[in-house]
Formats: sequence, C-alpha cells, structure tokens
Amino acid sequence: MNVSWVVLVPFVICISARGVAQNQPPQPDIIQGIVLDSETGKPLAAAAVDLKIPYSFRRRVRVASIATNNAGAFTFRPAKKDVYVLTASKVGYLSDDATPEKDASLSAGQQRRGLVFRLLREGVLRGRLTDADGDLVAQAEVTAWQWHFAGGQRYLVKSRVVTPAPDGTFRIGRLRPGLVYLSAARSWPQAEYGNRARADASAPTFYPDASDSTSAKPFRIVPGTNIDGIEFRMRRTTLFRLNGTVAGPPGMKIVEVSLCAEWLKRNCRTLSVTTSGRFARQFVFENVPAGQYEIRGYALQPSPTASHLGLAASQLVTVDDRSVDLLVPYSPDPEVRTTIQGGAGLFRLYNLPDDPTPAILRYASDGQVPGAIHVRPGRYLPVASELPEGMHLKSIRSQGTDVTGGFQVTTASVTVDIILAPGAATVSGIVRDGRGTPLPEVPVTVWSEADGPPAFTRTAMTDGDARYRFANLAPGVYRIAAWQGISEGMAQYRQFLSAFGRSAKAIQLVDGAREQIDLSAIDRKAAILEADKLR
Amino acid sequence: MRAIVPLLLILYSYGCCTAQDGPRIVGLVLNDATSAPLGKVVVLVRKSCGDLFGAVTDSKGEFSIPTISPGKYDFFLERAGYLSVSPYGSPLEIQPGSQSLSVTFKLIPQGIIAGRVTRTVPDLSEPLHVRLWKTTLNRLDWAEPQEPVPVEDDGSFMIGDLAPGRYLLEKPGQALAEAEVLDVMAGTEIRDIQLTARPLPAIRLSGLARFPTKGATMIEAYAYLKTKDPSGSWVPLRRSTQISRKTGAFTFTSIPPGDYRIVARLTVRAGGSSQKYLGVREVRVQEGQGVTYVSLDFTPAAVIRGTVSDEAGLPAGSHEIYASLSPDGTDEGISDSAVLTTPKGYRFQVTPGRNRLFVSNQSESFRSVKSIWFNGRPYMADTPLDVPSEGGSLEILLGGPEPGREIAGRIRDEAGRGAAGAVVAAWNGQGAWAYVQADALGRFTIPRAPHGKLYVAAWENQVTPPLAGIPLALVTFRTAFEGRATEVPALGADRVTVRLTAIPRVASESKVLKLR
Repeated sequence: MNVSWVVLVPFVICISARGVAQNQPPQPDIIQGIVLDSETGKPLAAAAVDLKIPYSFRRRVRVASIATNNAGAFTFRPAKKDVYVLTASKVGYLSDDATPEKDASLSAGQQRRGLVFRLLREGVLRGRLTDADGDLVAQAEVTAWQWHFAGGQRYLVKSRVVTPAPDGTFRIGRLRPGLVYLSAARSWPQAEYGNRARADASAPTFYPDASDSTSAKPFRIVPGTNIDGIEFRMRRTTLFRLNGTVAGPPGMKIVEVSLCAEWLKRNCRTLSVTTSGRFARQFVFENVPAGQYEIRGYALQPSPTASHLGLAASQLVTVDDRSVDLLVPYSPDPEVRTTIQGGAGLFRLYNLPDDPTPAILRYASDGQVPGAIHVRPGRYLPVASELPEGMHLKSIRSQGTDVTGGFQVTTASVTVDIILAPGAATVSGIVRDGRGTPLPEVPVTVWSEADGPPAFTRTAMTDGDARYRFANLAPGVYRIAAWQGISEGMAQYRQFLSAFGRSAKAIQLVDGAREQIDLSAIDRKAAILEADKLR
Repeated sequence: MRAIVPLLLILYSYGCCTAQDGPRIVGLVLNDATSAPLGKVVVLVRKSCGDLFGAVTDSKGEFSIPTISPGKYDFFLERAGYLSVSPYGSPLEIQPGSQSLSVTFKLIPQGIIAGRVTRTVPDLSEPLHVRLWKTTLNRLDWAEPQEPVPVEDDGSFMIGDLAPGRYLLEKPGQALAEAEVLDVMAGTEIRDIQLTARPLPAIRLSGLARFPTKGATMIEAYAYLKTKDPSGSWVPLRRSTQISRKTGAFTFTSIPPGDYRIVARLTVRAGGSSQKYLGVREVRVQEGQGVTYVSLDFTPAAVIRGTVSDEAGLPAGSHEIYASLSPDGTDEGISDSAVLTTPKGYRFQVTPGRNRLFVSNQSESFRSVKSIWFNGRPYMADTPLDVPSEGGSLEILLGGPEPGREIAGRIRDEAGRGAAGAVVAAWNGQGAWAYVQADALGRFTIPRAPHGKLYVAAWENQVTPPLAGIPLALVTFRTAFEGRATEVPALGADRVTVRLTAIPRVASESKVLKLR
C-alpha cells in the first residue's frame, strides 16, 4: 500500500460530494469512513467496525459489524434512521482517538461520510511468573503500570491486570506507548493462620526484583513492541499478622479499615470492623508481607443535625520483625472552607491520584458555598471550571500562601479564599494540521511560561469542526499550541510543554481582549517524541 | 469507589475455637503422582461453626493447626499447579479429650490442555472461546460441557486444573462428533493443539410438533437438543427452545452439520390433572442446507397411581420420604417424583418401559419402607421396574424403623497411611449399593448397608466432587473390582468392622477408560 492516505481522503470526499450534488433518486442512508494506522497514516484493512445503538450511558447494542476493505474503508447502509455510534477495532491494535466511539446518528436526509478512526499497534509483554523458588504461585496477579497524566500531574496507574495461565505464563497486551512497570502480588484465603511469622517466597514484587516502582526496571513500549520470555520471580519475605483496635467516638458505625502498601497507594486490602460483640472494634490482617504500610480507615458517625458525618483514620506502620498490635484512632473528616470574592463560579477540587472524581464547589452569586466540604486527608488541587463571561481567576490563597498549584489537607480544617476579577480575555480559533486539514478532537493548551506559582496551564479539546475556545483568561503573556498524537493530560503537563517554549505561538492578552487565533498543530512526530521522554 | 466488604470476612478471623486447650492437627501433604512431600500447600480447616484456620505446608510437606476444640472439621487444600480439593473427605470429628491427630493428604498435579485457534475469517470483533467437555461415568455414558474458556488476542488458549479423565475439545463451529478426544492423566500437559475457528454456521433446524390433543390447554411445551459425541453416545447440548403453543413450530439456530436428536416434552391439562408427553426424533443436519425441517410425534406417559400406608401402631413421620421413578439407562424419558405422605395418594407419570424406583431416606428414625407392590407383585426399590404403557398401581407400606447393617472401618493406602477422603462402597448382587466418603483419617461408617451378601471396597479419591471419576452406579465398574473387595456374609452382626486397603487412583482411572 504505497498510495498515501493524504491522496485518498480528498478522493473519497470528492466522490461523496458529487453524490450529494447529483441527488437524483432519494439518497440512501449511508455511513462511510476509513480506518487508519495511526503510526504510518496508512489505511488499515480487515479492521472490524461496529455499528451500535446507544441505549443508555453505558449500554450499547451492536446492530452491524463489517471489516474494512483493502483501502481501509467501510460503508454501512443502516435499515433505518436512528441514533448510532461507531467503534473500530482490530486484533493487535488500540484506539488512538481521543474519543474512540464516534457519533454516527442519521436523521432525515442525512449521510455520514469521512469518519476517520485511528488505530495504533499494541505493545505486548509475555513471560512467566514464579515465586522465589521457581514454583507456581496461587492466586497471583500481574499488573502493568503506566504513567498517567491528569491535572498537571504524572502518576502510575494500573493499565492492565492479568491472572497468569495455569502454567504461570502471562500475556499482557493492549499496552500503549510509554514505560511499563510490572508488579506481581498474591492473595491468601481468608483464615486464621496463627501468630507466628512465616517465611514466604511470594512477596509483592516489582519487576525484576524491587519492592517498589522507584527501583523497578520498566519496559519501553513503542507501537508493535512484543517482548517475550520475561522471567518474573517474586521476592522472598516474611509474613506477619497485624492486629488492631479501632478508636473513635461512641456510636461510630460502618467501620472499614484498609491496609495499603506504600508503593501501591490505591492497592488496599479492606476489612469491615464489627462494632458490637466480643470482638467489637478489633481487626486482624493475616499474611502481611514485611514492608511499609498506611492503615486507612473510614467510618460514619451519626449526627443529630445533619446526615452522617464521615470519620477517617490514617496511620503509617512498618511491619518488619514482629507481628504488630495497633491502635487506630478515627477522627472527623477535615473541612475545606472556601470563600469567593468578585462573582459566582464552579470549581472542582481534585484529590489526585487517590480519587479521580473531584468534589464540586458551586458558588452562588453572593460568593457563598453552602456549608463547608468534608474531605479526606490528602493533597487537593482546585480547578476553576465555570466562571461568568469576562471574569478571571485572580488568586487562590490559603493562610497567606498561593495554593493555585494545590494544597495539603491533614486532619485539621483549612480555609481557601478565591478572588475573581473582571477584564478576562477570550481566545478562540480553528486548528489545522500542516497541510491545512482541520483537526477535530485534538488538545489545545494555553500556558504561562513562568514556572512556579502562579504557573497557569489550561487545556481544551477542539470540537467536531476543529474549533477551540478559552474564556476567562487573565490578561498577560501566554504560549498557545495545538497537538496531535498525545492525550489531553499530557498536553497539560508542564514538563512536556517546556520543550515547546519556542515552537509554540506567544500571545499577549490585554484587558477584555477577544482574540481569534487559528493554529497549525505541532507536528505529530515532534509531540510524540517529547511525550515518549515522559511517559 | 470503596467497596463495603461483608462483615463475615473479618468475623472469620476470630472465633469461638481460639485459645482453647485441645488437640493439634498435624499433617503431611504428598504429591500423588510422585509421593514426594509437597510444600506451599494452603490447608484450610473449617469448623462447622464457621471458624476457619489456615496453615501452609513447609518444604517437608508438613503442617500443623494448633489447639482446636472438639467438633466437626472440613479440610480444603490448594496449591498452584495441583487440583484443589474442597472439602477433602467427610468431616473429621474430634471428640472431647482426644489426642492430637495426624493426617495425610495427597494432591494430584493438574492436567493442562493448550493450543492455538486460527480464525478462517480474520479479525472480526466477536471474542473467541474454546470449550472442553468432560466425559463422566457417574450416572450414564455421557459428556458434560465445561465453562467456555476465552481465547487470548494472539489466538492462544490454555485450560488448566484438569482432573485425570477423558476430555473432548469442541472445534468452534463444528459438531461435537468432530471434537478432539484427549486423555489427561495426572500432570499431563497437552500443548500445541491447533484449532480452526469457523464462523457459526447459518443452518437452522426447524420443526413442527404434532400435538396429540387438539384444543387442550398446554402447560408446558419445549424441546432440547442432543448430539453425538465422538464415541457415538448421545449427549445433551444444553440448548432448549420453546415450542409455539399455537402452531407447534420450533427452531434451533446456528447448528453445525451433524447428527442430532430432538427431545421434546409436552404437558397438557386433562380434566382435573395433567398429562405428559414425550417426543423424540433423530435428524441429520447436512452442510449446505439452510434449514432442516422435521416433524415430531408424541407418545403419552404411563400413569401410575400410588398409595402409601403405615403399619399399625407407627408414630407420625418426622422426615419426609421422597420417591422418584425414572427411566433406566437413559436421561431422555419422563421421570417423576413425589413426597410420600400417608394417607394421601400420589400420581407418577413416566415413560413406559424399564424404569427404576428410588426411595430416599429408606429408613429414618421412625419409619422405613417395609414393602413395595407394583400391579400386585412385590418389588424392591432401586431395581428395574417394567412399566406398561397403561401404567398401573404402586403400593408402598411403611413399617417401623429397620436398623439395617452398619459397616464401619478404616481405610489405608498401600503405604499404610490413612486414606483420607477415599470413597467406600458396599453392594450386593441384586443391584443395590451404598457409598460414603472417608474422613481425613480414612475412617468411615455406612449406616444402612444393602441386604444380603455384600462386597465392600474403597477407592482413593482426590477430586471434587468425590464421585467424579468413580462410576459406582455402573454395575460393570463395581463387578470389575469384586476381586479386590472384602466380602461380608449375608448373616451376622448388625455392625461389621472392616479394614480396607484403598484401590489406587490410577487403577480405577484405567478401568474407567477401558469401560468408556
């Protein structure tokens, strides 16, 4: 296939345009498009394209499925007009689109042509998991971790979890480009194992022989990577028992306690603690490998005034040479009290990477947020998501410090003051690639070049017509760029942006400015090259 | 977000049995194939009250459960690469004041079947599965489908944790008769199986049921499909379809070419009661035919009316006594069951021909089945019963409790260790038999052994469920081991104690494969 897709696209569009122009018999209902190999830009034959009806937010019913032809093209002629979505897949490939599912709804007289799907070759890791002696491990899982970018942060998330085959071999496919850290852990049947420490050859392990990701050796995945023969041996450890007692106000209920490995933050074993009977408020974790842990607890406390109040506990514990007896105090969730000056607005409070679902702070025009928000201890990042036209965020401060970049909440409550100011600028425009083709669903970033607070970064996606818009920008000097081939999270990561300080367009926005700036997206290869240094 | 873990999980970690003085359970776990000690085996011991203790065998294969209280204990063993057994044998009873106990368990290395599936039509998004059937001889000569196993994106598949036995590997999109026949022994690894996945055939099997009675109210009307396995036995496909109550039409879709048997059941309302019908039709579905049409005729079930009466002076029953009547040697016919309540009568509907009547709980603490009469002739439960098409009458007389003979004893393996979990059976020459499973020490009690001269034999068994692989119901299997059985004479004490040496697992497995 030497014919460039760039040549084919106008051809396809040209044919369809003629079909529309002639329009003699009634138009057949038609959905047409093409599937491309994202890496080479060439059409992808024998990819499966599924036409589905979305019955709800999650539920899809497939109504038709076809394979793309040798030119990567597909055509559906649905029996009736309806709300449709399309997805494309091929064994050995991943979707490389910001929205893998595309709307293909048909209404009267409408035809859908020129839909473009991009698929990227997957990375595959294959190997065999054994314990330190080379024996098979029961109830084991192998996890692939990859860097995830969100909220201007980078953190490891589980990208795939597999259970090894009965002979211990594992295959982890569908890996995206970037570094992949492998970890293995096993679980034990719930029972009482006695109070003696016990040697074990299947400790939680990061490949090849590390207790956490910092000293692990990652695999570099590029499209098409296929690594076989990984010999993954788990480390030796000693298993202990961890006994504990929960302390807290009388009447506390629905008490949960979690044992979280330091290196796995969200990888916790959770138990419910009974609050009555002979073993009230006691808990036991059996078969705990030596290491550093955080004991986390959550509970509810009945409140005479409102609904239940949340209680939380957090305690670091080292398990090394003996079984541990712990007292875990639960205390009320700390409050984040916020004030706003200068107008109404909607803010999101992110607790990344612990909880990707933000708390929503919606301010009325009088600047009041109804009651204080109870949160769990952790680091929080406030993000303005809806501000009135013409207003911009002047500052977010807490106890005299700028906290635009986030703040830490311990067990004590904090007050955050938000100040809005008028005179915000707006920037909008169309994004095209180097050949002038409009680029729908790509990220656009506007950022301030100065590092350190108040470093400013905001990302938006172009819409179906390749348009972007940033409102509520404070007057000042910014860089602006549009990207191809990278995620929205990457487009918000400052270390990534810093590589484009020169190639990005510089803009100066004055009070109340309304700029129309059309952008030529940064070259796909250049963006991927920089992204690969970080992911 | 955070899941609320059931309270039970933590309660398991504590219990009424901790920190009491009592005996220890010490044990040894061996690899059944090599007799070598097996380390890293998780041994779980559950007391009937729910307490769960865990131990892990060391490199010498030994484990120890500290100080436990009297009660009944179940054992569960698991180790990666070996068949887990749950529970291992009948519950072990620990009496107050008993000494520490020493038990020996054996685990069978798993069998593995692995290979690769190639698609004839590449890359369609339909996920692929492979399915294994395990042939069993528990009741009849048939095969049972296992859960389908997903194929990896690269076409490879692996099915592990296979107990010794004969397996059929279905070829996707083809009839079961074309399946690969694979014999798995302890630790066998069969790799490099090559399968080709054809798209599901677009062949339909459609039929028309000729209802025996016009205008009657249809209570139930369905058909299911059987096919031939590679040995030519008919096995059910677990595919059933409703028969239209208006038109009698029914359809099975996506049928691979091959031989099929349609088995259909009807129940119609007839006066104040119901009448059942059976329809069976064999059909060959051929390649290239879009639809295969059949018609189906029905024969009525024989109706048997029964009475139950008590001997004079019998107290009211405390337990229910069930009776079931089913065709002998086939799973296709109509069978029926009833609760025997005096003085109420009961009504059975069964396929005419050779049947077998089974009465559960033949003797509870107050009553036992004293005698059975069919059409005026005496009959013994669990022996063949010829039912004419016009049916007949069945009279069951319940008498006082009948002690029966109790056979108890201890089973050892060939090395003289207690044969934990061995299956022990007692049978007579008239087709009656009973079995129990030994506890972790190899001890057993058969509370009500059959009458007459008995054969008693024990088989080593380390698979779940305990009778998988030991087809005791087959007379040919039992008689094959009469030479190795202990004989108990017809007359003698009410309680007989025997010492048995368990027949090694490999011996019974090779016999099973020969019978098949």
